[in-house]
Amino acid sequence: MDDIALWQISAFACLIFMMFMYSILDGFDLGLGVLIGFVTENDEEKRALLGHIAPFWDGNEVWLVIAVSTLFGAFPQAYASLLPSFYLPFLFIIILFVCRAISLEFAYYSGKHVSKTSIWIFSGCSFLASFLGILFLGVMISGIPAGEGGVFRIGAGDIIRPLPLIFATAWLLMMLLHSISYLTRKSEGALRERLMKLAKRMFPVFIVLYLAGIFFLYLKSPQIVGRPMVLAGAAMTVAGALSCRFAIGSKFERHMFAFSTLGMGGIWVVMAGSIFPNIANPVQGGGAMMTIYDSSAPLSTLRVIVLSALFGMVSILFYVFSVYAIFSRKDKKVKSEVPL
Amino acid sequence: MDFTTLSRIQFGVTIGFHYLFALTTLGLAFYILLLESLYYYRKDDDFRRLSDFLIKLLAVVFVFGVTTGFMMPFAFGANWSRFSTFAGPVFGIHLVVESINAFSLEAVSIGVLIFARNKVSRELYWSSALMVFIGSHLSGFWIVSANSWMQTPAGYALENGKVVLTSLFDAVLNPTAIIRFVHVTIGAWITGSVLVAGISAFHLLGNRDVKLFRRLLRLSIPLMMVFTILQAGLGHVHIMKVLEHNPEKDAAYEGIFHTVKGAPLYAFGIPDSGNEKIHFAIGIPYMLSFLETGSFTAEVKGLEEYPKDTWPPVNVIFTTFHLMVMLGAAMIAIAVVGGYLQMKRKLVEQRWYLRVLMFAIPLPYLANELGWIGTEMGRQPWIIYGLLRTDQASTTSIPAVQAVVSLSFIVLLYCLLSYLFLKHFTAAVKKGPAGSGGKEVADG
Repeated sequence: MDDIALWQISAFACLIFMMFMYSILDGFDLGLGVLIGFVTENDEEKRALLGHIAPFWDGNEVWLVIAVSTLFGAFPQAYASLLPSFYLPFLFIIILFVCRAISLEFAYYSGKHVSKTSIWIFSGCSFLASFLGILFLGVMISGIPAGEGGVFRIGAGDIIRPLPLIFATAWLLMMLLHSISYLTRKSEGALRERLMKLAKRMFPVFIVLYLAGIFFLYLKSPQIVGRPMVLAGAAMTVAGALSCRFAIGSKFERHMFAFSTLGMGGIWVVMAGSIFPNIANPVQGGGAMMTIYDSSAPLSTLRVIVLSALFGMVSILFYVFSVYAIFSRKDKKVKSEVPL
Repeated sequence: MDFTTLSRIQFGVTIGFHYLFALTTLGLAFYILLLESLYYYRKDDDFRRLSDFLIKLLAVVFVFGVTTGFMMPFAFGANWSRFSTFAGPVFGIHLVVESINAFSLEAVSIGVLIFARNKVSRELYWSSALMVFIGSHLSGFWIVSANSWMQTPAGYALENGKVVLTSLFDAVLNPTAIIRFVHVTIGAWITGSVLVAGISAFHLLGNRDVKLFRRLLRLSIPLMMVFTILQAGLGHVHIMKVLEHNPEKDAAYEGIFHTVKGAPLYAFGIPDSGNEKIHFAIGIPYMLSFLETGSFTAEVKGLEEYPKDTWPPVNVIFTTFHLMVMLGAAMIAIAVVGGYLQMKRKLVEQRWYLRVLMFAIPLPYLANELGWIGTEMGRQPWIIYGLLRTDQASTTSIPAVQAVVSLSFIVLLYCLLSYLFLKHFTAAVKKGPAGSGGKEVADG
């Protein structure tokens, strides 16, 4: 097991898995955040949705935090080139995450009449943070130009391009479908009807955009789309989304969450397949490459990080499942969630 | 200003702000575990009501702590990319283990603590208080150990101009890691005890829930006494470690420019590094020699022994260090007076003392921040002592104007956050424990 490449690949796989878990867990509360702004009609519905997020969002964000620190620990050089390349936008995303968390607290504790301002800030920040984050993933696939000294350099021209924009919109829709499928088990009545209607409408838009994204990627770099992993991932996503769509109104409706998880998983398989072994793809026609092999920490560090990540992820999965199990129980007596 | 200076200010602002919440989290996590244990064994409902009250305060603090914590890993990669590339192989491990094995435990269990008292068994609920305590303190340990590695690096070798890990054990338990962690933890527990005592005093002054808050105050005063006195001893142990590993920093702390036999311990003074002397010095003759060596006439090395370009900014660290010590002394005094009043059973009757407790709340925060500023400024000009200078650690590809923009945004955001936090937190404090557990509490 002393072959360093094996450890580098394992660290990369851990990263992708963490991001997958992040998108599944925080994906649903980010998606809920986006939805709450326009699908809810009264305070009761808003409070119900907030109640699905409040106990979990910080535990869900753990996966992003561990992914970021694993990127730092396992691939310090990549970390040190990616972050400066996008300095102000990344800072902006962090500020959005901060405002999102704070406005959630204020909305949740605002009492009987849910504060409208807090809801709007929460919803807007959820939308912008997820869209910008996903957009950056799109840029990583479509190509980041190299600047001086091996540091990436991203300009507006690299972002405002069809490929990243199409991918970002499609994945955002997938995330919303995923949130709705989580809610199918949790919501009822008019809200549920509205959500289902929305899911039905979003589905064709998602499929068209997603396939268009794959097609654009094919035009740009056919060798990437030809990779078995990319094809398999794309098929997984389409299958997941299709099953979600046809589950609506059928006896499989309660399994929608599993289907959308499959769809989200497919996205990460596509992501991993299209960049591997690069940290981010170079722009067409050259530019400096940064692969996981030349940006990783030395073997002694990688070993510690991969082992602690594996051990840690197992324990986090255990806590997360226990906590979700606890919260699906009924209260023993009075509700403890009294607003401050 | 150049990018490095701006990045230093930005990092100072972000971590200084985050530190306030981290301290409160550790302090409250300690209290909550204590109250939950008392409740578990004694089955006295007062402890549960008090714990519920503090859990609500922790919920507010935790959100601000987590969100302000996001800025740090960002800064390492974005502002300090040369540092990250150079030291990532050791420093990165701390961050990975902290997030995966400590923060995660805390973040997941706190949900149970805040929302699920009525959903789980007493044992499980107590365990979640324990998990939050362990998670937050472990998290603190890894961060302090990372910081400590920058002060006293160990367990590494240099290869191709970068750090390579040679011993995980030595790197994590580097020479000053343990004492720093203990010093910081006790600092946080002092913060917790002063905060809780102050809040109790506030309610006692308003004659609200007197029985409950008298109990909480009578619990807090002895803790405050033990922790503040213990901290003075720990501070001494810590500074002996600094003397051993970063002697020029210790000389700057104590304001010793010239090597002398029988060095004085300054209690006050205004250092002047240009003329290498302390103006208006008040101190105890021979005391520093005694504290550092056990002999009143022993030699103490001054800053003159070290090249001037490796001197830390003496004025800043002498001043912050001495202010921290003074605040520590003030808190010991407050705690001892409280202990005396408690013994005489006059704690609640002495309204002036309750007022002192209320106004003492900022003191531990100030002391912790000053101690931290002294530690970090005292490491200058190094970012990693003896290995990498701060001006060689920052990112070169970002124009300074972007740092001006980011710093301005962060300062604006933090002003807004401070306002929202104070509003939210004081509302929760004022509301008090009544109603915290639903009907039962109203009856009790």
